[in-house]
Amino acid sequence: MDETNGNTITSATNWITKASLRIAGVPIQATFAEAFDMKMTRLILTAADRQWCDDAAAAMVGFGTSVIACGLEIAVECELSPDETPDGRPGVAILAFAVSGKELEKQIPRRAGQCVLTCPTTALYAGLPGDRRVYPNRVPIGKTLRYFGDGYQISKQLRHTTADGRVETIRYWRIPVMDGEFVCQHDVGRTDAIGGGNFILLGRSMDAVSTACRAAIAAIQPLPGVITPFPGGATRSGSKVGSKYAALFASTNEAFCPALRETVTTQLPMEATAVLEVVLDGMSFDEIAMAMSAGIKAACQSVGDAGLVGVTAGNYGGKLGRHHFRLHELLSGADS
Amino acid sequence: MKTITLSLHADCENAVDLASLRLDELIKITSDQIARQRIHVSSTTKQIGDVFHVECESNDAPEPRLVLRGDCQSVQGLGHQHRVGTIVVEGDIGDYCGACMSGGTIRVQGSAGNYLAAPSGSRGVGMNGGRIIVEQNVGEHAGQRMRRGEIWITGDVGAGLASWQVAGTIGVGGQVSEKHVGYGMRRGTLLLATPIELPTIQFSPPVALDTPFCALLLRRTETQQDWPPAKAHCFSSDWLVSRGDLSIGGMGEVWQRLV
Repeated sequence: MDETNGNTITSATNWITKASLRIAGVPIQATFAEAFDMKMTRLILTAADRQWCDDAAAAMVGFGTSVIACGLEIAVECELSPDETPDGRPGVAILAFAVSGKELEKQIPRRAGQCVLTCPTTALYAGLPGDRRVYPNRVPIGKTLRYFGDGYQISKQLRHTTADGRVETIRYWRIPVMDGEFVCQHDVGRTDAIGGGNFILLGRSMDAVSTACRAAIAAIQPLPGVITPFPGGATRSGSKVGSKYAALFASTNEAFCPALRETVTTQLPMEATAVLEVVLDGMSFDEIAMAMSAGIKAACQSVGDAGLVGVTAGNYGGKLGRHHFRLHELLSGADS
Repeated sequence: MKTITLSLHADCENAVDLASLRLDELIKITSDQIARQRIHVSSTTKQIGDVFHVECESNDAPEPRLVLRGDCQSVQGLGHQHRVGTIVVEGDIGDYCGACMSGGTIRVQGSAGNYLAAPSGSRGVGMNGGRIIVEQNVGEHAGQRMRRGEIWITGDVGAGLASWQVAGTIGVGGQVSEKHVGYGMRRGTLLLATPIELPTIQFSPPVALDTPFCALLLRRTETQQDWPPAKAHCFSSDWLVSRGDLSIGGMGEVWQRLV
């Protein structure tokens, strides 16, 4: 079985015919998705009603698909009911990932300032429960945004008893704005995470791979601690590391481009005419593994082998990241 | 952790000053040693054991605890510079309770005297952290020069509430004397569940303010448990806010329940 990229047409076809694992008849390549360490935070955004909340969240997570050029990979993790938010209003949980803590600390206040502070009725809180004793590394929010208050801002420290009986003091900032007050926490915790989990759907047609992809995203969406930051949860521009142009860190992965299958060394079987990649970032290995498993199963079951030629994953021979998600191990027991 | 119980002798009629006691120091010593600690009683000094019956009990509670029993209206300075653990008064307490405290919790199940959480001696700062809960009434000058922390009072409060307050939060459920309330207040938050007429020369007219902070403050488990008005009025739409003390350029806020 292939373990790396750079295969010939023959070997690309081989794993399709000889696959030891199939789901709904779709062959799963015995390969692995290669993921790398990232830093992440979780935010809770609330507003007076669901519409303002969703508007602010859409702005906050906009242009947040890839750290290659966006600074962050950021998306809504889940909706929160008023009972689940600190201020009893509708909310969303947002997960944000960056390549370094420093980058996270730079990007989050910018987005909070331009996308949340500006949106009527909103407020922003930490989504990782725990103060400095739990998360010593902090991402500033109110620490930076408070200066917008021009001296009229108010700082309040409130003691909260957590569900496990721990007492922690949280510092909030209240910034007067034209609809009342923008309220946010002084800072929020950040922690280690994993980015770049992925699987690649090889479709017989664009329609079929779109259907499979949407089924995968629908299966992943309810799972906690994981996001798929690309538009609709998937990308068509799967990339390889580096480029012939020195200025680029990443460029098109020609081995998966149908238009180039007769021109370059390809990884595409003959029947694959459209390929989509689902990229996942998560708070832990297990959460990404669970999401990949759920996504691949849903994709295969949605269209079967009539729609998908196979499922594979992107890796760089193990040189890029230390987290390897082996598809056959994730999907063990799912054979059908 | 340790629970220390001090039961005031029924025949003690003198003023007892407990300002020299620190809970974080008491938990390091035995009950006999506690009983030998010297405190001011009227104009003399006595051992604690002369005035209180001392009991110590080790348990698995996460923090130390001091329980005061008996009629302690003449006991002053309880919780002076308190910073760790919980002090529970199973009845009334005298003046200067929680003076200069910087952490921990003091819960008074009865009423408290004057100068609750105020500065003591020549100090310029009163309460600087922690939490005080008074389940009945409080005397005058409560929260004077308060800088941080929270005071939640269920009953009535005397004159001079929150005078020269610098920061922190005070909530009062009952009637508040209008005399000198918030006088010289610079910052901080005062919540009055029973509205009063604030002096217009010191405080701005009350206005509505839409803020999620009110819910953050009042929906917490602690506030819901300790301050009855929070149960029914935890959103900002239930309150009006004034700013002051304007006469000194203060930016404190007085929230008054909308009636």
